Amino acid sequence: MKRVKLLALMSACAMLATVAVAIPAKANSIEMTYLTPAYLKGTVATTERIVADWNKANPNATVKIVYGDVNNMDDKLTTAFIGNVAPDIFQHEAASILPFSKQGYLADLSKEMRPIKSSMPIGLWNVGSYKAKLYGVPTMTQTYSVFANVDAFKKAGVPIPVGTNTFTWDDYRELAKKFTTDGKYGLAWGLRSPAAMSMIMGMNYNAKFFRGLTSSGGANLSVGAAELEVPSRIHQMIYTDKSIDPASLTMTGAGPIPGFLAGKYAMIFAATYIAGDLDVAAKASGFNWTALPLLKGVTNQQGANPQTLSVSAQSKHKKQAAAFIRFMVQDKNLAELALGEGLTPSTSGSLKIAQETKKGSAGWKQILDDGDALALAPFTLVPGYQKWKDTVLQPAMQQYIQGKITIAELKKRQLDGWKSIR
Amino acid sequence: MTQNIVKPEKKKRKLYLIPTYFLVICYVIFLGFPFLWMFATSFKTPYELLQLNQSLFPEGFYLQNYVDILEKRGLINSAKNSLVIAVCTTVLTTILAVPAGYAIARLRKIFSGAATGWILISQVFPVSLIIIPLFMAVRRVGLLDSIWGLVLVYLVAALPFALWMLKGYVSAIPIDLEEAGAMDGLSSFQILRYIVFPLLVPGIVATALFTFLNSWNEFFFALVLIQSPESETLPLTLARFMGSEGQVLLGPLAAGAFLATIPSLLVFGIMQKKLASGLLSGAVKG
Repeated sequence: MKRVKLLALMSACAMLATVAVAIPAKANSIEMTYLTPAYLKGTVATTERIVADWNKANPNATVKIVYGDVNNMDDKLTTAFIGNVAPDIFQHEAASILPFSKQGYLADLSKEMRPIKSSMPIGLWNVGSYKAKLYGVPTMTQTYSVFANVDAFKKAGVPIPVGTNTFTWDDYRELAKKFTTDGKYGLAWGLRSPAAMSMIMGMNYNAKFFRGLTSSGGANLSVGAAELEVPSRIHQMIYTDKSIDPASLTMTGAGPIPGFLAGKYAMIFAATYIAGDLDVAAKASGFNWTALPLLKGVTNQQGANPQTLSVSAQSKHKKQAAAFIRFMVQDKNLAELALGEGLTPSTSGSLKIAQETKKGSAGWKQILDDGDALALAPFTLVPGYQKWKDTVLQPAMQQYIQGKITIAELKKRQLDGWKSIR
Repeated sequence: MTQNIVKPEKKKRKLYLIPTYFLVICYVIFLGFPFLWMFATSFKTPYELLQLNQSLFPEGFYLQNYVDILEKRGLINSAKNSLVIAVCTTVLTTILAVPAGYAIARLRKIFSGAATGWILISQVFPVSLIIIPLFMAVRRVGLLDSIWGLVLVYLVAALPFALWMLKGYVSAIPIDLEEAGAMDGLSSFQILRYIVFPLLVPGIVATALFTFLNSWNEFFFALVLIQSPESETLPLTLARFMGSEGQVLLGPLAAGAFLATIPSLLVFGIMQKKLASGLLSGAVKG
């Protein structure tokens, strides 16, 4: 009887304790906002699933999703920071958060993210950092690849290049020429906005663009043979080899996909995000695609501009926000998010899961195997780089690709443009 | 005899009408084709949208695009917000712009010139220049992330052009009519109520339509001033179907754009009759 009374007393105490804990916890509960530009159906579903899981596990520190427009994230964030109404957590890209890092709008996450530092390439970690402080946790990155129609290769009896660090720009040029027959072009390349791609691919030839990044006088633009190698090769393929469909030159990166699916070209060059569309076609019509190994010049390295997760310095809940980011980049979550976007996840664990998930797809296997080739692009750290890229390099490259200016003029415009921006 | 003279004239007139109708039909097709294309696209599957040769008509009625935008992307809530904002902005703009436009048109030239000059100057500043001060001001009055904040901003943005338009309409009404009314013993208010206002209806309708459509379609102010999904407007929701580097979720975007077009078409359909009717018809007869 005594035991029953004791048990009853203990139960009552336990219930009281639960209530006592629950009430203040409820009273102290917080809600954080998470701004994301996610828009693809799969990514939106994954984001909502992750946030729901977090909210279930952390009822006192919940997260509310706010969807942003990927093309206007800078405007949105600028005004939000100035108005002191910034989201607690937001997703953006490494090159774009740099100005916000410098202006002190972002919280330093170095300490909070130390547990995951060893799980990602140091180059990626550095891309999200400024002055040795981590302001954006790199989550996923795109690479630029050549996508091939496997059936077209089989029909032509041309072996598909495989492996890593094996497929050179010369091989690429030869392949494009080989498939350019009977009025058909071997390659389509959406070059409406060629600036970022040409700089990122320039790293194949050790293009640096800017020198003296740490000098007190600021960085200097230097355009030499390495920086002009990629534009020059593209130009040769268009005008000397005539192996790139001129109609594709004014298309966006994803523009040539319909022609590729219709068998109009054997290859297209694009960022890996198009893999999602190719999967749709593979499922609907059995379209047989693959990705070729990353192009190699002197190296096969490409500049990385990963998607990042940041915490606003204005947030009153920085610790909880950082904890949410750690939850978000857990291997399973990150793998699912990255595959939904057609990107390569940044941590080794998530990369393994992604590789396992997509092991039946040769194209995906190639994309994910090439993740190691991503490296810090030093030019993304230069103040004024974005402005120079968008207002000087972009129009100059467009004119060069359209055959309106020479390579010497391209170089001159880049240098003059930088002088006027500095 | 008379019939014999009239008949060839009628025939001649009918012959003249054939090319006119032909041109009108061509113009309607030209204007309507993008809308038809958008409607057809909204029923296409993702795979159909990846085809090189796009057919005008979808292979079937793929309704998932509509399900996605209505169930998962909050389109109904955004449409409701846009409608409230556009209607309130239109009503307030009209209420303020009609008397102000009349005053500017009829008052002494010095005042009128200064007022119109000021209106023009207010239109000179680029949006990028005023957006941050505007953001701060809206925040200070506590209307950030509120549809009423957007109504206020749209009202301020719409008023100069509305005044400009209405001033032109008022100036086109002969002052003789008002003087005739005064001679007949009408008070100033009665002149406005019974003479000016009826003649100004097409101008008011045109101004209201212009204001409604601008508010309905506006994107940038909404992007900056609205923070939460509950207060989002249609253009913001639709923009979320577009990714970077030219990526677009074309099916759901077409479905959303089609639904978003319907209210403005209805408003235009209802109000357009007023545009054409009544303008000075029979007002001054010798």
